[in-house]
Amino acid sequence: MTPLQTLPEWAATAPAIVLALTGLALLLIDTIDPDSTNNGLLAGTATLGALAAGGIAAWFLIGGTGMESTGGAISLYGDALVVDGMSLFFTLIFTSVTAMVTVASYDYLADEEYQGEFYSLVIFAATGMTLMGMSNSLATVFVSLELASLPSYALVAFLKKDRGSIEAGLKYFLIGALSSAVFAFGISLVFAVTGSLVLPEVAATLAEGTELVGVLGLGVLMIAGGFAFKTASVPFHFWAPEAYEGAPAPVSAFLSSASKAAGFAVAFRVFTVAFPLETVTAIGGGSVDWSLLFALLAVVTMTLGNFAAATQENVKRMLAYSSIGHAGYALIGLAAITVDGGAANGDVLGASMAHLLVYGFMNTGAFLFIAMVEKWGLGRTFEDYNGIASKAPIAATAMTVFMFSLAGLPPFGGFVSKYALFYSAIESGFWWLAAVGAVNSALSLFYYSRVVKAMWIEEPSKPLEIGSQPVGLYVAVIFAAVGTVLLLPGFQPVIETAQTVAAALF
Amino acid sequence: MSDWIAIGAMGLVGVGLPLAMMAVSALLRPSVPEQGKSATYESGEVPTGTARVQFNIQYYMVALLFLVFDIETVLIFPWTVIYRSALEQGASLATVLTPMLVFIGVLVVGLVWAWRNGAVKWVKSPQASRRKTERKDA
Amino acid sequence: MAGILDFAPAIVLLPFLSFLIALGAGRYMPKGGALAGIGATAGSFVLSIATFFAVSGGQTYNQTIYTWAEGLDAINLTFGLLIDPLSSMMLVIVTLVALLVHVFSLGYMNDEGETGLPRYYAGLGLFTASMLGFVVADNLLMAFMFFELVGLCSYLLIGFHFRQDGPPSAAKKAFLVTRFGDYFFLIGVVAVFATFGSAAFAGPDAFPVLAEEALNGEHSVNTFLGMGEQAWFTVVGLLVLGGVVGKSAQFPLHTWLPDAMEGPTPVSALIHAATMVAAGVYLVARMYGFYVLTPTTLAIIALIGGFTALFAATMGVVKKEIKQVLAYSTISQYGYMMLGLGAGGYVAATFHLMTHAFFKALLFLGAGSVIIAMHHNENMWDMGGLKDKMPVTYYAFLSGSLALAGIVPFAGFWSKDEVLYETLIHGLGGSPILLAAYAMGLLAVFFTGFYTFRMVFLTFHGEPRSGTARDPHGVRWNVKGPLAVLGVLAATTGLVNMVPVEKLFGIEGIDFLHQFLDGSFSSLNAHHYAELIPYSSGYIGGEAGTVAIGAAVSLGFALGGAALAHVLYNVPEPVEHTDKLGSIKTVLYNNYYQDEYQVWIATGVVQPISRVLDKFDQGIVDGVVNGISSVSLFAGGRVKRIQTGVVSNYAALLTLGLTALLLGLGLLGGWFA
Repeated sequence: MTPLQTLPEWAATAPAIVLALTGLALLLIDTIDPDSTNNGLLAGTATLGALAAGGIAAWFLIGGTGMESTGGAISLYGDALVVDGMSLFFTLIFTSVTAMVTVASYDYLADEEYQGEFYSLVIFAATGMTLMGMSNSLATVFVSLELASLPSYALVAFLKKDRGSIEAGLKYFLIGALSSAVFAFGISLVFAVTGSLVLPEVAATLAEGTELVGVLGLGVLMIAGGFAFKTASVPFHFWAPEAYEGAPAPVSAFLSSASKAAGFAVAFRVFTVAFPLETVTAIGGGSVDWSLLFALLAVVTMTLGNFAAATQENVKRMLAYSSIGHAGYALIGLAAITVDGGAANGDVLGASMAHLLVYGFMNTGAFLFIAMVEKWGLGRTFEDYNGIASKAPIAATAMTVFMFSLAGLPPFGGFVSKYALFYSAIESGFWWLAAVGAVNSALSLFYYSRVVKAMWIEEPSKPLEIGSQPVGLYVAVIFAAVGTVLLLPGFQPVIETAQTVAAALF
Repeated sequence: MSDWIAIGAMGLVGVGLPLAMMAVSALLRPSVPEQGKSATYESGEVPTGTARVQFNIQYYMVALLFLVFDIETVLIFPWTVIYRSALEQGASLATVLTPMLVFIGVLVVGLVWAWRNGAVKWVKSPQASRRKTERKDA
Repeated sequence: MAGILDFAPAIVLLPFLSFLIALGAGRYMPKGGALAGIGATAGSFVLSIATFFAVSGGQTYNQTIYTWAEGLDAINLTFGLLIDPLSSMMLVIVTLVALLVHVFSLGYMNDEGETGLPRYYAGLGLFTASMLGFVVADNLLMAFMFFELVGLCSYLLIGFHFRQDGPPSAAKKAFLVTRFGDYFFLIGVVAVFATFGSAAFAGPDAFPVLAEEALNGEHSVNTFLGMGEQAWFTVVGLLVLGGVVGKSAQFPLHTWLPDAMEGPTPVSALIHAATMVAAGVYLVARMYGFYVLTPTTLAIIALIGGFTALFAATMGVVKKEIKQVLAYSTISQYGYMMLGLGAGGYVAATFHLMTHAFFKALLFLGAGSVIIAMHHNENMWDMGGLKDKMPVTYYAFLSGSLALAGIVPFAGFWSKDEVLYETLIHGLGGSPILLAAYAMGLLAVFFTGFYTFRMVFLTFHGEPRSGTARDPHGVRWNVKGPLAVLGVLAATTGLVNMVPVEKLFGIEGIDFLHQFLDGSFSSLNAHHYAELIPYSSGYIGGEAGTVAIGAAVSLGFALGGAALAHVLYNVPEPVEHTDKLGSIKTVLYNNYYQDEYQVWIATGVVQPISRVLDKFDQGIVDGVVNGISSVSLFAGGRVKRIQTGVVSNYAALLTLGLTALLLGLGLLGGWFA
């Protein structure tokens, strides 16, 4: 596309720049009159910024920025940042989730204080995530990871008067600090072995061979640990059930959809670019088989997430565990990478990315529905959800869409994304991963259906009073539902884009 | 394997020795707790109260802001060092100056916001304010 | 007219449209959806006539309309239309009878004040669409699907008066018995696909053509169970025959048809006389190129046909209700068609199919008219003397009866005679089975004549035997019109293929139907079939002589039966003569205990097996499923306790997990070497 060639190279990071400027603008708006808050203006600015960033990313993606057709990935600032198809794809995920969350927060925060802080923290976290998708050096990875994580610690503890929120925030922060320490130590070990932090240079150095296999292995393992924390994979997931349950529901949506996807973005890039499997599995007399590692993590995460969710009584906690389960599915993308996979590697990675996009919509929608229920003050257990469909049929339908899509039932987007993921795993020869995934999906249908059953079939024990019709939450939930449904017929361009941009990494 | 055995042995000894010492002494010594023995050591001074004093939270805010701007200072240093030589070697003023202005600008926005929202205002906890007024009346 | 065949799908879709209209908007329409049905069938009839003329002009049509499943290894599942002489003839027959039945229904249902009319007309519309779809199907799978669909419509329409006891039970019985046969048909369809890779009737990969080439050694096909090609084709043909036997009510799956008379009479006329039961015979005719390759199957078909013809005719002679007589007559006449097909008389059987459709529909509609007049009393012993009160009905009914009995020059004579002639000459050519079947068919002619005229005399002649007969309910134009049309057809249709006249007097070219069926696709025309049939012909005194003898004998038997009926029943006060049969009477009254026998198979054989399987299902299958569920939930309950809520536990587990991974991967990857 000709207009792109007239823009300077640093404009490739325009989505991140737009988000950062939005965050600063929010701070400035809050500065004008610190004693009162204009919720509408703040939410509007945040949403506009997120949508603008997403629009620019989509424009770049359609125009082929950073892809093979226009000269390959755009490297900036001494290879610290790289803009290619994968980063733009993930930016789309982050910005769409952010937009939905900010629109929903307009209603959710209507009675709260510190609204300016909330929106700016969300936007700054989104900026961090976008940068995570674009980072090409371990140092940038670390900085952007922290930029994405620190605001989320504060966001989880946002409801200062709610003990659950505070406890969740503190636990999240403590585990996060531990994991960041592990991560930083891992980076330092890798630097010790290779002498560079830039991902392609790390790969080049490793290709020449090294004797410090053990050190490299420990470093890679600890880096994987850091990513496992961000994506809430076992055994680094312990913060997730409490954090998702205690945080305000839009924040849970934001964390479990966008933050998780950001962790995956950076994990995909670091492992495929800096530690290519053919290099590290035959290095200096040993092998650092990270695909085996991720396969182990995927299986344990899927199983723990789904089994623990099956017997929960609290809907939000059930969704938290289900998020952990879905992280397990997405890990299949990394677990199914083989040394001589060729095109199949790009397929399975792309399928995982497409799954994260669809997951963004359906998971955000589910948590935003819970936000609505919290706003109505109905309670948090399955029994409290009885009979909602009779009073709020549209919202209940949207929630049904989300639940069945998360379970992987047609005719919703979740079915086709899970199908593509399992299919590409089988194509790569990992039929047992797909089998475990299928068994877990079958189990998950049980606990997702409990919500649907409660809403539509059960009778409420006491009369249900739904006082208000919060516009922002409705808009966000319905937008997420429409997105989930449309991603079934519209899945073809998504998966093609994802697989193309993933293949560019190999 | 040979290199790592040494480290493993050191880890074992490093953890095991203090544990063993504590365990053996706990088993061997008589247990007679007394106020003089369990008081905190203050280099000879008699301790008043506990060490667990509740600090004014405002110190934390100051420390946070200080940390941010201290790191900013650290990051400005390398820039100043190469500033003149970069200009002499032909880089335009814009490419040299603009990134740093952006960097400082972002932090200024943050500072303005923090200032306006009362992060640097010295606040007292309600408990502290109440005690002072009570004493006056008493 | 050139592009008229492109409108062929409309023939099927118009009645379907009327089905939808009657279903959705029938409540708001003045006649409950009848006008939509009449309009649709009239439109289909006009299109069928146009198609018929186009086909006589030499055009044919074999198109795939829609591929609904594309297989990887060249088996595609498609919907398509095949218009050739056979199907265009059947289209005309079906649409005409359907149109007349719709008009008749205005008198039978609307004028009698029946309720639930939208449901009735919707059922009729769906049935017409399904039957037409079956007729034009271009492959066996599509034919099977529409076959099942007409079975469904039959179920819905038999059970129309579902609040009474009889109709729902009869509907169930019809559905179950035909379904039993259709099960074998389905296996046959799968076998055809597995053997030939295609189930098309015509075109480059038509399976009859492939089968012929396989037997000539030009093509290889898959056979199963270690059989040779001839044997396997026989098996496949017999499997498909299962569905035919069920749908066309041949022995032993004939038991449903007499019970199906519980449905309204126009339904009986359309479905259980003229069209749906013809579907089985039509299917054999459609696949005839395949059936002629296997003499064993042909012999079995002929035997079943001949036996059923005699078997049903004997049961028809003792029935009291007018519709029951006609039901057994239908079973018997379809036996003739099967006999014709099995004996190699493709044209003869098709001819009989056409004439039978007309005269049987006529007889049923006539019976319907009588039933309206008798205030829905069907017992013939309460009727009598109706010919003076209902002249139109009487003459139409008489025309149909003369056709049914096979009296010259009415339609039934020409077609039945040709069937018997073909059987005779091929039997004389060296097939004792065909001679046996011929004998049975000939004997059945006598009984046919007898019960037909018994029915006519008891209903219309003599003195009225009840008050209703003395003062019958009047019928209007919508009843008399169709009767008149069909009466004329029953009288004249035979003229299209007067083979005996041609052979006896040497006049060439008046066998119009034969010439018509000789046109179009070379693999589907009568000429090709005639080449393939495994029979040779033998004659008694030359061709003309055999014709004359055959015609004379069958005419003689028919007149003999009619005369006996005349003697016994054409008296002012007829009485029951069944006691004279002695012990045979009980057997005939109980329909040779066929119903009891089939019920015994269900309760004595199938039910104990079902009980065992049910125990297996509940114990083992359900046990496994419930077991998995309880294990999962138990595991879930245990797993969730790992989340203790204490942060230091989390940190500890995190570190322990990291260490475990380190040790595992390190040992595997040789990090500690």
